Amino acid sequence: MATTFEIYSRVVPFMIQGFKLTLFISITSVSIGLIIGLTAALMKISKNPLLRYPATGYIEVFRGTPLLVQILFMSFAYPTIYDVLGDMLNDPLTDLLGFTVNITSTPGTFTNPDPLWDVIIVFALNTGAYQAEIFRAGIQSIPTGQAEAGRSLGLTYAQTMRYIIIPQAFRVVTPALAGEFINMILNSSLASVVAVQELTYWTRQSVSIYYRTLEIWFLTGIIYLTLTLTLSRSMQYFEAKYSVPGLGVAGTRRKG
Amino acid sequence: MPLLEVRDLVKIYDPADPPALDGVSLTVEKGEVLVIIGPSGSGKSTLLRCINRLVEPTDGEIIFKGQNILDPEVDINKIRQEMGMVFQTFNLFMHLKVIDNIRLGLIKVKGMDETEATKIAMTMLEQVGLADKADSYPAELSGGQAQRVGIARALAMNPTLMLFDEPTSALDPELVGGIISIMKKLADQHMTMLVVTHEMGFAREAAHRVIFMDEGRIVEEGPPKKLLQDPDHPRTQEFLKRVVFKTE
Ligand SMILES: Nc1ncnc2c1ncn2[C@@H]1O[C@H](COP(=O)(O)OP(=O)(O)OP(=O)(O)O)[C@@H](O)[C@H]1O
Ligand SMILES: [Mg+2]
Repeated sequence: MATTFEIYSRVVPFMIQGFKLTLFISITSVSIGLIIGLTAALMKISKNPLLRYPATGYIEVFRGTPLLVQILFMSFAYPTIYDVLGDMLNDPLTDLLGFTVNITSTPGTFTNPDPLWDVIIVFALNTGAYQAEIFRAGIQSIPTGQAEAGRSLGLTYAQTMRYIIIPQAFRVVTPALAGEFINMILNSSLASVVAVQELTYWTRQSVSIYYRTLEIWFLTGIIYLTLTLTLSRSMQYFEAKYSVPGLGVAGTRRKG
Repeated sequence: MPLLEVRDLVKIYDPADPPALDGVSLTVEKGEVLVIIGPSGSGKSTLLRCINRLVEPTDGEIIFKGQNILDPEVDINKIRQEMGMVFQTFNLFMHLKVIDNIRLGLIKVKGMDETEATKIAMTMLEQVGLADKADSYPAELSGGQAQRVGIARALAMNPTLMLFDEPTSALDPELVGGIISIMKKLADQHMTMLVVTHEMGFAREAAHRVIFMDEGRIVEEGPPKKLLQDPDHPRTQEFLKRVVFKTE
């Protein structure tokens, strides 16, 4: 029987490949989710029902259904949704990211041959909904006097949000946001069910080839744990770096 | 022409409650210091906040510099630059250093560059005696210092009218004097001021006119000597008895 070391030396190249994709999926989804989340939060607190209701509906749907169901739905609702999104997003995304992004369908096929962008869109929408609620709570936790002081100086509503409320809200929600980022990384393992070749996918493949369940899953666990620990440490670093006396969790801890 | 004229102002927050403002009319001349007194819930804050439209009045007119500022055509952000407001709870921007609290409006509203804004901000801080706190955060200040920054922030915008809503009510008694003396200095410089306060000393010494409000109405107004010492209305008399008893 091969030693653990031999097994690891064979599976590690695949694990690294999977890890890279896990990282890519997580970073992309979280970043898009951040923009979606902040936008949805601002829409939800708006007085205008045309902004408020769609945001509320979106948040309820994505927080109220299982992520796995969302992934499968997206995956099999292809090609309809896919074509529309592909037309909308290919060029702007290519411009934005600097490499070719191809969200295209092969007409007539039932499932998508490369579901990567399917799951990224689902993940972004899913984490966006959770982040929206985090941001909304954060924004509403800032005392109304802050906005009043801003408006009384002659700042517009948008300027008040941008320069006064959102910077404070960010500091308040950092711990909750860190938690959501970690959720997102862990949830990305669900992408394996639609054959996206991320870390969990390669783990399952490796196990089915080498039958060394315990060792291989243990290794995967360590990789996920390292990733989430690194993330939460760096969030703590940023929290401390941007902390301000009297604001947020880090701000209430006196700096010695 | 008065600087500010308020006509029949009505504010109803909740139709089930009595109106917070029930037909308030007043005029403020340029350079005048007007003190508003009255019991809790009488509508003093609501009146002040209607004047810069932090609260939308239900009915009535507010004429500022000859312009009805309740007109939907009016750019309220332009008007607000000319009205400084000082809050009971200071409302300093918690995430910004003292200097940036003052620079924000100068840069984002007035469009100044940073050098110019810094110069003005430092001048303002010197005037309130806090130049050495420029790089502190609001949470690191005492209440008295915070309120001085609040005043400096409002004054930096070079307003025509200053609105003070109980600027000393949240302060420890020993810190009140410092704020009052800044406000007196401002009055001496002929700043037009509308001041809601329970500081009868300030009203006596600095006010040109005192207004007593109760239940959303102006009950009585007059020069401080008359209104504070020999008021006509029994409700004013009763109120003053309570306040004077409490503070002196
Ligand atoms: N945002 C609001 N929503 C609903 N009702 C309000 C609101 N603000 C004030 N009111 C009500 O309007 C009335 C007048 O309140 P206002 O704050 O203007 O009184 P005030 O004279 O400033 O009192 P105080 O001396 O306690 O500050 C009160 O009955 C108050 O409960
Ligand atoms: Mg009040």
